[in-house]
Amino acid sequence: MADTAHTHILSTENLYASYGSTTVLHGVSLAVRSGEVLCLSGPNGSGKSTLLSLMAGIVPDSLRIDSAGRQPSFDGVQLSECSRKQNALHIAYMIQDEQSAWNYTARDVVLTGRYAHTVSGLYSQCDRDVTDSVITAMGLEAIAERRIFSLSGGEAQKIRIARALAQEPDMLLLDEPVANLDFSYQAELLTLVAQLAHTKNLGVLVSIHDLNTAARFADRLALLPRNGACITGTVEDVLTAENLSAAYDARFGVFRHPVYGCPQVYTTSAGPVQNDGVTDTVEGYVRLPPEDHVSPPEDVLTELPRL
Amino acid sequence: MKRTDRTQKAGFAVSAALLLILLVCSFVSSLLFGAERINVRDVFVRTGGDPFARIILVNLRLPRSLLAALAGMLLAGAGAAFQLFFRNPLAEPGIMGISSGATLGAVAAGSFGAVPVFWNILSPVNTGAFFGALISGMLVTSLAGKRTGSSATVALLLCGTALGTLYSAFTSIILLLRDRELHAMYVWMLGSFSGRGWNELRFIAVPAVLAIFLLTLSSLPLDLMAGGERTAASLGVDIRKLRLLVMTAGALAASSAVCAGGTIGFVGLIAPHIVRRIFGAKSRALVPLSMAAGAVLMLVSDTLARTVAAPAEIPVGVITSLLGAPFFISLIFSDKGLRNG
Amino acid sequence: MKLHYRLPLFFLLTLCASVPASADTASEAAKSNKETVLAFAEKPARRIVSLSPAATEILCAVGAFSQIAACTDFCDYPRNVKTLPTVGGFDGKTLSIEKILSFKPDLVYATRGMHDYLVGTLRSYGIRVYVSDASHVSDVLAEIGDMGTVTGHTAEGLAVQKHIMSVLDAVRVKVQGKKTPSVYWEIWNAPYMSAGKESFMNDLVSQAGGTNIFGDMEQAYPLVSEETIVTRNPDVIIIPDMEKQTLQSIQQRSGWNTIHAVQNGRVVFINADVTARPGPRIADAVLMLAKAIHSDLSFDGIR
Repeated sequence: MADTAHTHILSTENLYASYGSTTVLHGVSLAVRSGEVLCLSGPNGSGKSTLLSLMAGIVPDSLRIDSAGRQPSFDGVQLSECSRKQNALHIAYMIQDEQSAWNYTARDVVLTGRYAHTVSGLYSQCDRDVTDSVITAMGLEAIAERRIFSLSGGEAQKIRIARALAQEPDMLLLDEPVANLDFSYQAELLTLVAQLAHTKNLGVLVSIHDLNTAARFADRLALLPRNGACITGTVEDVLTAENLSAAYDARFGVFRHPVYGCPQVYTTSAGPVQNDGVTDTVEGYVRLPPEDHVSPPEDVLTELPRL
Repeated sequence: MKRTDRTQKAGFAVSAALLLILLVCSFVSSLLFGAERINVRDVFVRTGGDPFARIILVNLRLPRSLLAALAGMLLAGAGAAFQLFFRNPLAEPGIMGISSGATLGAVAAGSFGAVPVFWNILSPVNTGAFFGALISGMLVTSLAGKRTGSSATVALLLCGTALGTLYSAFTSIILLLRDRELHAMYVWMLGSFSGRGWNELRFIAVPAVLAIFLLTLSSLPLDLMAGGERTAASLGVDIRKLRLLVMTAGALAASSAVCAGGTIGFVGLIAPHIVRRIFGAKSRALVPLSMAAGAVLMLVSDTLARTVAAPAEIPVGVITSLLGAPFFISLIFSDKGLRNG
Repeated sequence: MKLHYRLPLFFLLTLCASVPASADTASEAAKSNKETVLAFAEKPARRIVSLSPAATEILCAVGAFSQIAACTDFCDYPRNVKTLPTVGGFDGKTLSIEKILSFKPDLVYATRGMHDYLVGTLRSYGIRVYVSDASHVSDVLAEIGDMGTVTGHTAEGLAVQKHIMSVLDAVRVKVQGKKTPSVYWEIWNAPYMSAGKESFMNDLVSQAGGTNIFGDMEQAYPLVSEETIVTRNPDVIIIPDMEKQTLQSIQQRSGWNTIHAVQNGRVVFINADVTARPGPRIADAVLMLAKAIHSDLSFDGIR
C-alpha cells in the first residue's frame, strides 16, 4: 500500500550481470528513495532496460547475475526472495512499447492493476473504487470506456500509468515512457510523474534516453555508461562534459536552460573525444554561472496541467 | 462515468443471460431431436405410449447430450485459456500436440489391445485416448519447463508442434501395419459421440471438474497476460505457476474431451471468438463465457450430426469443421479482425 | 491439430468424388475381368500373386495352391498357405509394386476398393489383373468359376460352386416359410457402424434367412444411430469377435436391455475371418449365421 509518511528505498549495490558471455552491468549501484525522481540515462546497449527490470524484481530471460554487493532490494528485503504479488504491492513497473493482445476497455486495463491486492481471485468493490479514483484523478474519465486499440499513443500510456497507480505502489519504474510520444505528451506525462513523486511520496525511477528531458524533470540523475559503473548524483554533478564524453564517446557542451535553469547538453562533434576537458561556448547559447539562475516566467507555469 | 458503467454492466448481464438461455434451449432440443421421432408425452406416461420414447430420451440422448455439453465446455475453456496465455487468437487445445497424442494413444490401444478395459468401464480405445492426451500434455509441459522466462512459452509451442507431428507419424505407422482397423480408426479420428454415455461421464467426471475449476481459477491472471509476460509479472502474476496451471488444466480438459468424443476440431478455436463477437473483448469472463458457447456449439453440432442424415450419423467433427471453418474465415476478413470485440 | 482438420474435409470430398467414380469402375472392372478370364482359357496362369485372404482361399479351393507365387501376411487359410512367401499387408497402401513384380506374376488377384491404384500400373507392365468385387454371394460364386477357368481347374471350380450352392439351397429350404428374424450386424461400436445394402454381410444375412435392419441404407458400411438400433429392435445381434465384447457388456449398454436380442440373449459372436471373407467358406458362413439366427431350427446334416 502507498505510504505517504514513510520513506522507502529501492536499491542495489555493485551489481554485475551478463547475457551469456557479454557483461551488461558492470558493478552498478543505484538507490531510489520515496519522494524523488531519479532519471536513468545512457547510450544504447548500456543496459538501462535490464537494470530497470532487475530493480522491479523481474530477471530478464537468460540473464545471469554474476555477483552483487547487494541484489535489488526494497527496504532491505531482496526482491528475489519475495513473491511476485508481494513485490507488485510496492513496485509498479512499466515496460517500453507494451502492446495489448486484446481490445479491452481502458477501465478494465486499469482495473488489472489491482491484481496484487486480490485474494479470492475476484476484484472487490474496493478495487473498483480505487480504479475509479485513479481514473478521475488523472482526468481520464473521457477515455475510460473506450477500447485501447482506439486510443492514441499518449492516451494509452496514460492509461498504463493509471494502471500502475492503481497498484498503489511505493515505487514507480518506467522504461522510456515518452520515447515515441509528441512533445506535448512528453511534458505532460513527465510533469505528472514528477508531481506524483513529490505529492504522493512515490519513488520514481524512469529511464529517458534524451538527456535534456531527463535533466528537466529529474531530482537526481544516473548516468549508465556502456562499460563502467553508474554515475549518480544531482543533475548538476552528473551532467558534466567529462562524464558525458566518457559515457557517450562524443564531445559535449553543457549550458543552462534559459527558462527552467537546469543544465542542458549539446554535442559538438560525433567523433571520439580529445582528452582536453574544455567545454565550448557556442554563440547564441549563453553559459550562465550557477548563481545567475533564472526562474521561469509565471505564465509558463500556469500552462502545465494541474493535478 | 458511473452511468455508462452501469449500462455496460446491464448490457453484459442481458447478453450473458441470453447465452445461458441459448444453452438450455440447445440442450433441450438435443433431447427432443434425433434419428428417431419421439413424442415427448410418451416419456412421462406410465402406461401406453411408445416404449422406446423413454429409452431413447433418458438412456440414449440424455447421457450423450450431457457428454457433448461437457466436452464442448472443456474444449472451449481450454481454447480460451490458451488464447489468453499465448496472446494468440489461433491457439486452441490441440496446439500442444495433445490431440495427436490422444489419437496415438487411441490407435495404439485399439490396435494392440494391450490395455485392458479400464475398470470395466471404458473401451481400450477411449482409455488409450485419455492417457495419450494426458501424457503428451505433461511431456510437453515438462520439456518446455526446462527453460525459464518467456522463452519457455516459445519452447512450449515449438515442442508441442514438433511432438504433435511425431505422434501423427507414429499413428500413421501403426495404422499402416494394422490396416484392419484402418477404417474404424479414421472414423474415430473424425470425432463422434455415438455409443458414448454414462460410462464415459463417470470416467471423466473427476478430471473434467478439476479442469473446469482450474481454468476458472486462472481467469483473472490470464487477463493480465494481454500486455506480455513482463507486464503480467510486474502486476503480480507468477508466470511459471500460471503456465503450469494453464497447461495442466488444458491437458486434463483436452484428455477428458477426447475421451468423451474423440478428436473434435474447431470448437476450442472458435468458441472464444464467438464470445468476443458478442461481448467484445471481455476481461475476466472470457473463459466461463467460452465454456457456455462451446457447450452450445457442441450440442448443436451433435444434434445436427444425428438428424441431418438419419438413420445414418455424420461424425460430429465433420459438422464442427463445416460450421467452424467458414465462420473463422469470415472473422479473418471482417473489419474487426481476430483480436477485437 | 492438423490431422483432424484435414480429415473431415477429405471425408466430404471423397464422399462427393466416390459417388460418380464407383459407378464407372464397377462395370469396367467386370468387363476387364471377362477379358482376363478369356486370356487364360488356353494357357492357365502359373504364377499368381494373391492380394487378399479371400482370393487365396478361392485359389486353394479350386486346387491351384501350387500356382500361387505369393500371398499376403494376413492369408492364413488353409494352413499350408502360411508357407508361401508374402508381398505385404492387405491394404493397398502398404503394398509395394516392386515386391509384387519380384515374383514375376502372370496374374495378380486384387480387390476393388483396396488395390485400385495398382491395377493400372500392373497392366502397363503387361501383367493381367483380376479385380474381385464381391458384394453378393452370387459374385463370389462367379469368381470361383472364373478362377477355376483361369487356373485350368475348371472342374474343381464347378465342384466348389456346386457344393456351396447345395448348402445354400439346403439352408433356404429349411428357413422357407419360417419367420424372418431381424438382424443387427455390428461392425464397430463407437461410433456405431453397421452393414448396409452394398455390403457382403447384408447378402449373407439374407441367404441365412434373416433381415438386416439396415438393409435399406445404400452405403456398404454406414455410421448408424443408436436410437435407430433400439427402435428397430433386432431379434438377433451379430458381433465380430474382434471387438472383444461379451454378452454382459452388451447388456450394460444404456437402454439396450429393451432390445429383443439382448433380452433373449440372442447375441452371437462370430468369427470375423470367416464372415468377412468373400471366399469359398461362405457356405460355412451362411450355415453359421443360419444356426445363429434360427436357433430354433436344426441344421444337422448340412455340410
